Amino acid sequence: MRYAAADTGAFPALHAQLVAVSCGDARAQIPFMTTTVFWNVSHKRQRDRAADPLGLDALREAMADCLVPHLTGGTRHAVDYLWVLVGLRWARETATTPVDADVWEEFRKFERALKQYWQKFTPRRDYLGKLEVSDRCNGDRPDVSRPILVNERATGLLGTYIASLRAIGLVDTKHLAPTKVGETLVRGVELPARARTFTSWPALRAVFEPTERDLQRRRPGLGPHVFLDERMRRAAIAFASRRCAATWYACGRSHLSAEQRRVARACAAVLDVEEAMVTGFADLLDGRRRLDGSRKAQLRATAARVLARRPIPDLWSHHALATALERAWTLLARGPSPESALLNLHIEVTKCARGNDPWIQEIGEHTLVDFRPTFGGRDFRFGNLARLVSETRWSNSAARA
Amino acid sequence: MQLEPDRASVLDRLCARLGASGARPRAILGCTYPFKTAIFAEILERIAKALSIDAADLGRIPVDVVCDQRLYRGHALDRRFRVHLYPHEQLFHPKLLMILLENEVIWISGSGNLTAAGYCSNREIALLHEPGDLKLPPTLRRLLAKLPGDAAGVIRDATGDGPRGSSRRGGRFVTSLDSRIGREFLSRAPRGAHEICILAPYFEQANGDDPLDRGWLDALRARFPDALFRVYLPLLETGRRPLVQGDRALFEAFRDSLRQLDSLRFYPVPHDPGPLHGKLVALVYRGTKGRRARILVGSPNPSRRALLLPGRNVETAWIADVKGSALAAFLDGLDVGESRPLEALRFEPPRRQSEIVWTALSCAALDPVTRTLSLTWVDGRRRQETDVFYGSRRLKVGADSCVHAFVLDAAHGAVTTRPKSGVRVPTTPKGKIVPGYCPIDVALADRMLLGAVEAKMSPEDWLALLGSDPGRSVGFFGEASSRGPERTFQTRTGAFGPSERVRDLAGHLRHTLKRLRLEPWSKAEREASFRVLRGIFASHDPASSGLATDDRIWRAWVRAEIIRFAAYAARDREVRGQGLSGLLRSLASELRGQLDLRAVPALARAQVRLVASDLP
Repeated sequence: MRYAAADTGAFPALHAQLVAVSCGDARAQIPFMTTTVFWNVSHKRQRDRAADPLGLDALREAMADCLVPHLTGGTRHAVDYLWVLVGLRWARETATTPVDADVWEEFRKFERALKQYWQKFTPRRDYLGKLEVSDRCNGDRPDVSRPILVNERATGLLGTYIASLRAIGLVDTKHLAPTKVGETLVRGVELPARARTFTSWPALRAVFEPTERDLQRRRPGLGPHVFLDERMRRAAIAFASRRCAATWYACGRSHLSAEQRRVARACAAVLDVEEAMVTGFADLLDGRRRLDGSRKAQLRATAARVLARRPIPDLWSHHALATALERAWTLLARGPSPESALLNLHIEVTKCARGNDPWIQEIGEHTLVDFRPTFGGRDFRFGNLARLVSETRWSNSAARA
Repeated sequence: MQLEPDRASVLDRLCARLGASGARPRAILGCTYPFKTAIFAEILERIAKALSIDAADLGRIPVDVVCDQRLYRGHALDRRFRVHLYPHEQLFHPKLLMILLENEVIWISGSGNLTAAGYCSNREIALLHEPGDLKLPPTLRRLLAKLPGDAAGVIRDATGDGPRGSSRRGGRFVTSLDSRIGREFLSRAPRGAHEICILAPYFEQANGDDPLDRGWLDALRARFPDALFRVYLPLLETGRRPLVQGDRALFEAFRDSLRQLDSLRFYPVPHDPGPLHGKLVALVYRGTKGRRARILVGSPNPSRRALLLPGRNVETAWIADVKGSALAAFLDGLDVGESRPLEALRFEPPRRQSEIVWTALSCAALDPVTRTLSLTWVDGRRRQETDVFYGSRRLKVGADSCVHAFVLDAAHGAVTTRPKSGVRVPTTPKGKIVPGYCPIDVALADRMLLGAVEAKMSPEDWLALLGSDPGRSVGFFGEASSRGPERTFQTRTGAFGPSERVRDLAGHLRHTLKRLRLEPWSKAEREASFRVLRGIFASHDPASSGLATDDRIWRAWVRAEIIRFAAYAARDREVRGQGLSGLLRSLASELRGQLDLRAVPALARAQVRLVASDLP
């Protein structure tokens, strides 16, 4: 057995060279400094908008998991599924061991190159990290050595699509490798990328452009895999039967399973109660001790409606967040103090379920959190489903045939 | 030292500096009075972005936070850092953030705690130190020697003593561990200071235990009896008689002790852009080079406890000499307007903490492989009277002070101690009893295996760790997996043909060799690799009962491969360059001594022995 076959000795040397070069350039510009004293400007927090202080994002995700179980919030384009398969196949060939960590190291280079190709040579802009990529595209050559995203694993292409790809059987559940079915789907699509490909713009284009053309043609082949599962198929038929529909409520709900129907009917009620709860909670964060009468009435009505619609999927019903939400809705609908109900829900969600620090502990407390709720993009992955059905040109009859 | 009139984000400046350095981090240390997880996680992510590394890779180096035990209220588990409580009686009040790089150390000090208020809302004074090399003030290195955790030790070992510094040339760093900061400040103070500026959110407590005539304000008055005192306090409410945060009795007593009543003037600092939390004392004097100021800036509030009494608070500060005009411009940034006499203000004393923390544990250490949580009690009496909780679950603590089969969840990084029901807690005037918290400590090398180990590690589970990616904070690609680091080895023994299993093992050992060739980010990373190799060997005992012959041979084969790998790697040129040859050679010879092949059929025994034999 020879272990020396995998020689990556060049990498540390290259890394050291890059560090030396960057240090050298930077150091030349940095004057020798010791200590500077100044008034600190408040750091603008990134998390506040993304946080889910009342557990309602988690509820919508659970509902979406029931409606379209094999999609995620980030699975947008059919061609991206295929890009990931091609990228994984290339990364496995390029990596010198079968170990996932090595495959991932290669894949991330592929992803960085792909995004730079999109930015430089195509009109596509709906991907994460475009600001960083557009900066990089101003350079003389592509740069795949530095990360584009803070957490490339979780928010990059592979992180976004892997759960879906594994669920539909195109990627191995234990390894980072396409399954036989996945291999078949992209058989004949070449990605002849070498190390040199990533060092010049023309070389990058020459490799990625034909591959993208091929993959666009392969999109219809993906449909049968994505919509093979019973619930996915039902959801796709529900959409296809009323293509003008823009919500789960308006689509052909009769095609859905009983549980999907119940959840689909509850979507609007959840959006309404969410708006009321989040706005009320934002008032509490402003230091208010009492909510307006109109807000209280809105909370009472929407909470009663959502309780009647039973939006919580069966699989999620024992989750700590589900229990906390149901308790809060009951208190909002029938209890004397909606302020306490919202505060208790927030504390329960942050402290008990997630182990984080609550933003406020008492009613009337001033908070440091800059929370400005926005209510866009809450479609329970309906838009993702619609796009995938259209891009794969999937239809039930064709699938049966 | 440069006193800048313009406001700036200390985090932005730090990150810009880190980005320019282009170096890899070796350790990060935060010191704070209260601590909040979320903001520290954000700071780490900013640092990682500036250094062009994955934030998860910070799990490969020592990243520690040391905070005061009285204010600590638990934290959500984050594999990238460990939390430690300052183990001594003193109130731990320094505010530091130190980043050790390969070729320099960059650090922040000042008044900002590692909390959302400290970084996002308060008016804080920040000091950014960029020595440009691996030198630190000797006083700071002595403080590091007293701190728990790996990061403090790594930073201390990697750095050397810089010049002691003087107030006139750039300033000097002082800590209350070396001397009383107030005395140090006054002992070398300029003689003819005619103006004293004091800026702080908290002053002495007028009704405190200590007599006021020995407080910090009185020490200043005794030294500079004719000076004009300018006091900057947080403004709480505007109006004809503004409301400020402070103790009226304290300032009345102080004013009465002055020679002239109008020698004390107040400047209410507006709440916008944030409540005042910065602390500064300045002695303005006329020197040979014109108007100058000797300043004391850092963590201490202007109180006797922080500045004059030995052994009460741990504080850090910077003493420096600056131009008078620079100080004036710095204070102008506060937009305080006209000065006011004491009568023109209303006072509201700051809220003081009135809780007694039920501290029963000094340490809770977890071994993730054996799943044993070992508790160290503060004293014997508390142990009998205390219940230990993890989340809402009460833990069964054995006579050996251990909790066995302990399962860690992401929501809770600490255990809680409460008095048992029925225990009579003595009431004190200080206030109510609140639960004590103790962070769960996992050694850095073990933390890399955290989440990868099952309750009962089978040989296949151990083998699966070969080639796993240590130090990751979530499962591969953030999937909903409780397993943590990804597993890469085929764990279903029946599914692979023998040759494929052997080939796969070879591939994983190749990956391990590749890792050993690369320079590690920390010593712990190496320790984790060695622990996995030893774990695989120990778990693959061919003599275990109930095994089929094939399994016995496979286990013996795995053991032999591990030995062969260690011997082979010891000879590798690049691994030798990492200084690992000796360790690997001794590992090979140690494991070879433990290779027992009696349970293996005779024919296979010879082959296995051949594999395990030393290479020519």
